[in-house]
Amino acid sequence: MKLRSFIGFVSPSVALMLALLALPLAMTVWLSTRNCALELELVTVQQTGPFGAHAVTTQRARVDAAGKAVQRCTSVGAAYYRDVLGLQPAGASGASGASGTPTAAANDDNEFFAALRFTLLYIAGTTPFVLVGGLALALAMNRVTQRLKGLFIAASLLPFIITPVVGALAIKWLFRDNGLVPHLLGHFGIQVFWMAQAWSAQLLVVLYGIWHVLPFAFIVFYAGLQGVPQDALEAATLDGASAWQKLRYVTLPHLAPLVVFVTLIHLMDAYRVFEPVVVLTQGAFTTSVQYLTYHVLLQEDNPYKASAAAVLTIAGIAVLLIPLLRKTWREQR
Amino acid sequence: MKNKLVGATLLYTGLALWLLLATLPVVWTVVISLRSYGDAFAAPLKWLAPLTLDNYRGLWIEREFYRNAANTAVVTLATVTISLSVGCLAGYALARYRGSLGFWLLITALVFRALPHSTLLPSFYAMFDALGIRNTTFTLVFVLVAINQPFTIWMLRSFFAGTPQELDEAAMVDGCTRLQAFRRVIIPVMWPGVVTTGLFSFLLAYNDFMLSSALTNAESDALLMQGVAGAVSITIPLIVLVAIFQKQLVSGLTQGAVKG
Amino acid sequence: MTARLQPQRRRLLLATAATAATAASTAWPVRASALACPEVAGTGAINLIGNSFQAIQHIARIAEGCSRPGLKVVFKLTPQARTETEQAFASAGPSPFDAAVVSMGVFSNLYSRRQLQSLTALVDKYRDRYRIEEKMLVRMDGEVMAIACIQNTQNLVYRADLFDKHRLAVPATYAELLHAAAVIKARESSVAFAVAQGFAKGFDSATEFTNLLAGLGGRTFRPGSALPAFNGREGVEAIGLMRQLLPYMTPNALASNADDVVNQFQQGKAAMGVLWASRASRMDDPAASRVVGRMQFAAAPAARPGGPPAAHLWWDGVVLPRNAPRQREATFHVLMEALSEAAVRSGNDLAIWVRSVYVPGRFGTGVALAQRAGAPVWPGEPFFSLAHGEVGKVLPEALTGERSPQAALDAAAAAYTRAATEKGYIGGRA
Repeated sequence: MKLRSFIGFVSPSVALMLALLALPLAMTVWLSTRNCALELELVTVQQTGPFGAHAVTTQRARVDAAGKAVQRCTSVGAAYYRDVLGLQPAGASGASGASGTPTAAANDDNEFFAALRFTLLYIAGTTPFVLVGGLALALAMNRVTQRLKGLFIAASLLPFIITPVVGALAIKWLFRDNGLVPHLLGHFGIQVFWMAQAWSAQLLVVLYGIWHVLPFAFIVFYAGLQGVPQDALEAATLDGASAWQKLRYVTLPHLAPLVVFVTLIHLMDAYRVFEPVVVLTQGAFTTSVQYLTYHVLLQEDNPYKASAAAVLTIAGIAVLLIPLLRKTWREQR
Repeated sequence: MKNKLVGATLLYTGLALWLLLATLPVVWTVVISLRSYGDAFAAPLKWLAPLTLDNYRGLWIEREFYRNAANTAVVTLATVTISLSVGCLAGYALARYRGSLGFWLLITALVFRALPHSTLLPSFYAMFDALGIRNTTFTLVFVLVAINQPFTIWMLRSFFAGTPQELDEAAMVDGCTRLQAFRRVIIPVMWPGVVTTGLFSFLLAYNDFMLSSALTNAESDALLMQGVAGAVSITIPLIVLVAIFQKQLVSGLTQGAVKG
Repeated sequence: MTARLQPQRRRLLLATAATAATAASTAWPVRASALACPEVAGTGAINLIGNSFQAIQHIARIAEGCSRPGLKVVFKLTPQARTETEQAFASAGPSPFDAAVVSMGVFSNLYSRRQLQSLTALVDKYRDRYRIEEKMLVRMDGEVMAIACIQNTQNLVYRADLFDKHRLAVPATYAELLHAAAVIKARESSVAFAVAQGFAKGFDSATEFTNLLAGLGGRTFRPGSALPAFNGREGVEAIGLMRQLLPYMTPNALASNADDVVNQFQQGKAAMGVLWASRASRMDDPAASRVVGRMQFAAAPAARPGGPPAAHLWWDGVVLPRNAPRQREATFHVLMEALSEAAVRSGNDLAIWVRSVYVPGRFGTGVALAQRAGAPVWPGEPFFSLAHGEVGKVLPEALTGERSPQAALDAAAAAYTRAATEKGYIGGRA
């Protein structure tokens, strides 16, 4: 295909990705170095309402001639990065020493590193089980009679295709107080309040992750199993290899590229873990890098700090992905 | 013989256990969606309780869920259509073009696929706010299309790579332009691949957080139960989907893996 | 098998279809006729937004009933209403929503950012037409900036039968509450936990803390500034009081929000606690409650003897943004219809309404009671929600003992100071 045709064909897609992926990305980087704040004045207002009248001393935005609030935007450089990383408890608007800052507690509860830590924990906790479980399930499914296969595969795919919000809610309703799981565990004398403490809440999010992604690994490995070279298997059987040896020396090497593929995709997706944190635990005891950006943007209402968190998040995934990407690239070439 | 029987028993027991775990959350949600609040979250747990459709009635009629459903349908349909149209063109070109530009484009797309969506939110908000188009369906559709493009073009590229070059070359020899060859010759052959990618586009759009987050956080018992009914209502089309298109989903996932 | 249906079969089919259609139409909500909102005129759409409380659902239904050919009223109900409203009103272009129902906390934020439009002219023009009462009007320096419709507060609810049984007086202070809890815990086996209160991380626990802080005479901010003062002596004391309650509550208390607390009372698992007045009426819901008629309420106990109840007065109301699209008159009419006396009468038991035509049910006098007892109004500083949020984040650790209350509050104060500085509340030109 000629270059001109190529460019013609890909331009709609590239235009969309440039406008709505690349451009916003660049803008996020720019926003992360800015801060806009309203110009405020101290006022005392007479407020009346359902409970009577009282004077309120508050801060209110200054308005311009048209009655619109006046906003001041400045460049703050790396201030928000320092803030998110907890390197320096300085205000980002450059105000010199807001006097009266109380005994500044050390930034041991820095939100970004807590988010990163849990995200990595989530990745580490889910990946091995997803891979091993997916492989085991694929091997098992391979031996199921043809008639039942369709049903079993469809049922197995359910956790993967279900809307993440719904999946997380479904698990929440299973594990909440008086839910099915605590009730069953209660029969064995185990009483756990799943959402009430750190270890159980985090475990629940990881369990959700395994439940949700295992079918994906399963289906990829299952398809891969269909392509295992039959003659190599027959030769191994003739040589007297046991089932385990056949698995180890013929099947697994064949599946190796698929394992890399699944790991890569899962890494990318797990890094973005969001729904279980928001839905299962509402951010109590669990957090994630994507949740942090979202929270800072919407709850703290600070798009500039959120942009800094976003850029740091992207840096994180870059660090994680680059080794894998380089390896894949070398193999392709 | 005996070993085989033991093996088979273990196999099917293990599979049954997995299937139970896989479907239990959904099944349990369906069960409690058919109960009143008092029975659904009773302490201690009730194994049997009277069934009621009240939650569904409340959700679909009082809360007028059909509006949400219609909105979701519009957004999803538009997203899938645009994604596929734009993605097919790009995927075909990437499969046929031999230069390194294609390779770099794919790598860049892969990098974009890794982006957490919320990292784009701050600038989306700023951009759309300045343009005055923030809360429109139009905006949502194009954002979803753009976010899904990397995955879509990767999948379509691998499907197109599987179609023989001779087909479109023959068509071009006969006098068709590239575009005509693409439309007349390749698309008919590609239909299964397009359907599969369309399924995944549908899933990605349908399962988007922004569309489904309305279900969370109920303020009252009635709303909580309606949320449960909503969760089930949202899932039913997906269950139908996986039952019907199971084979295509499988082949699609493996296409990306095996050939990509 | 003939292609045409035999006459009997056709009749049966038609009958079935007719029945189905009738059944469907009776299940379908009957729309209020256009005559229900006679003053509303205009074309296009009016978009409103509010939280998904039952009372606001009621308002929404009436508002949407004002739709007519050519004009569609859409009321979006969502738990994310606060975020969406603030985003919408802050937008540079026209707001996606013509008006919103907001809590007073959100009102303070919006007002401070000058994102609201004055309703004085509209109110003066239509005051008699809709019988708008003065106490519904929220005026800032005389200008009407919001119209309040619902009020709320926190009250003490308790099992009157158990209190009678153990001859306990209704606690007037937290010390008495703890005493009563100890008695119930020791002597009443039918109740799993003596106390149920919302200590969930975030909003619920922060509200408890704010109530206690005010009750102890503490201040959230230094007077006349946005600098934090909640990490002073009273703040530590407030956490101390909360910790004293914990042994009497469910082990899951730190994850309990208002819904869970209501559930615990309804299931007869708890004997007393401080709860939102609007939710108290659910104790008498025969469908969900096992303790119908057995619960009573009183003003929230004072944090220290002789002090005010450890509670705050709240209101929710409607506001119009400065960046509203056109047709503010039509929007105003729709809102006033939805907040009219008829609307309150038809939804009487759904909330504690501000209007005088509200007839309080058994639990409905809670707000008046709290007000008489001297509960303060919820703070109106725009930076309050920042402090509230930061405190809510650190409370779980302070309550479990993982961190000393002073350290936790200091950390919250530091985080708050950073956030307030970023927004310009601290160190700005104010």
